[in-house]
Amino acid sequence: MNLHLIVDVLPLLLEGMLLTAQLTAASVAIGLLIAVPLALLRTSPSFVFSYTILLYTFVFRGTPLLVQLFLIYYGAGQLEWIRSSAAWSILREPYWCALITFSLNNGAYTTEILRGGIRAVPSGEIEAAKALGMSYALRIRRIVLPAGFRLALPAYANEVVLMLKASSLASTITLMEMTGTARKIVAQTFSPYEVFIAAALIYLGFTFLIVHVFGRLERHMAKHQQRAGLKNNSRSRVRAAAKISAAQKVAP
Amino acid sequence: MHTQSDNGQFQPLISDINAPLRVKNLKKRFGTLEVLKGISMTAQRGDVISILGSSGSGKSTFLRCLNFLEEPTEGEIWISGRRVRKGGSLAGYQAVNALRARLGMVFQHFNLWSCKTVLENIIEAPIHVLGISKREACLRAEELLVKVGLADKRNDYPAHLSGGQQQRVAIARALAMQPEILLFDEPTSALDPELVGEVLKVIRALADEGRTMLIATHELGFARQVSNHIVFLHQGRIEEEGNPGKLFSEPSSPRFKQFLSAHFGERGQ
Repeated sequence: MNLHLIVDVLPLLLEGMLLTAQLTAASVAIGLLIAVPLALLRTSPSFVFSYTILLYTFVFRGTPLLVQLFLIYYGAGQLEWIRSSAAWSILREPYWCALITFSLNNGAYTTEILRGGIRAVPSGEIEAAKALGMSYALRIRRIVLPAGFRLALPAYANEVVLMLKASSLASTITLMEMTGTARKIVAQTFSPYEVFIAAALIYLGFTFLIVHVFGRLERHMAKHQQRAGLKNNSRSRVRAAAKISAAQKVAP
Repeated sequence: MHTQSDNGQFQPLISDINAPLRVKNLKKRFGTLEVLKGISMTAQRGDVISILGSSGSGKSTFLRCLNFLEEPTEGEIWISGRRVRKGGSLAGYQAVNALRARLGMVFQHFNLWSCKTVLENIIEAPIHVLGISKREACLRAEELLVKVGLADKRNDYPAHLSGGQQQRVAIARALAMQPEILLFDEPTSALDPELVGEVLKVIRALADEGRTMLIATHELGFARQVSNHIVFLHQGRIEEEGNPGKLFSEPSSPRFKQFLSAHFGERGQ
């Protein structure tokens, strides 16, 4: 294995890295926009809404993302009415096909994750909001969504990491994101080992970033669960404990 | 005080028409189970009415029907002379929300918002429902916290408080809406025995202020001291009612006698 090659390849992956980051961020953002209203409707007592949305999430969670991507990229072009419509200018672009597919797929998973969070909000807290005269919209905005999102956060962080890695599938429809770029470089250098290690390192870096950000968010949002008197985070407690034991060692 | 007369006809007195709360023939059915079988009651300003009864007698359901946390199957609810109905319309929902803002409810299990601090719990509804400024809401909340003896806990989260403290915060939260009537749904039933006193003390202070209150409770001694009217529910009906002195010394219904002896018997009274 050539370590220098790994380092040399990293800057070449830069452009692909940006596309990967952009695709992931955009799909996660659009997915969340789709998921918030759908999760609320999914938890509403209306069977019509609940089951229609269940159908959507079932289809997108029940089929491979690669198949969905192919269906939209290759499948849409087979339909005459799509080719002749204005939507064709979007659906013939691989970038938009990937973004649409990823957003819908991510939206489906996020809907179910959020639904779980919303359903886990204690019913007494919602009842208290009702009893204080808060309207439905106000209860959702001020009580249900903040509490539900908090509860859904660990699962949601996982979903964002999965989306990052799933974005590599865009390379199958000609997009030169990180995996696509890596394959191109492999074809030129005949060094799959080093090039894919470089790509993997960058994916790891991204994942680390996502996990770190969500970890901070989670700690910030879990303030209410910490025990009284232990309000500083665990790391500073460990540091303080280390200082104390060090001081004890120094003392005769 | 006026309730159903012997022939079942409800004849409101003049003073009853604008009473803070008037309930006429309230019924609630869950499927085939009829939990409330026609309850009528009037609360005048300053009345403290305790609702007694064994579990399953309909105490909680009655209180929850008053602010439509359960929708009454039948009957009329009048708040300060205005009839409240729900119906599916937007106006119906708005009417119910407006009604709820005027009735303060304290729950058995406190139901504080666990992600919000004590202060945030109290100022939430005044800001977003009544539309008062955050500064004013905070000032009022601080006063209420002093009143319930928790001024030093304003920035704590509910999980850091004892049950009694949480219930006192819940009372402050209800008071922050400046409600016309306070409804207490077994406010001390979920508390450890040694914490009951601190909550009862707060409720007693509120009664002394002349607030109109309905209290569903199992604390008979407390009910006797604090209320000017007592209602005994049995299987969804008012089995017996009257002023506490008379009711406790000369209970007329055998069921209420039985209820009293079950409670006081074990305490050797």
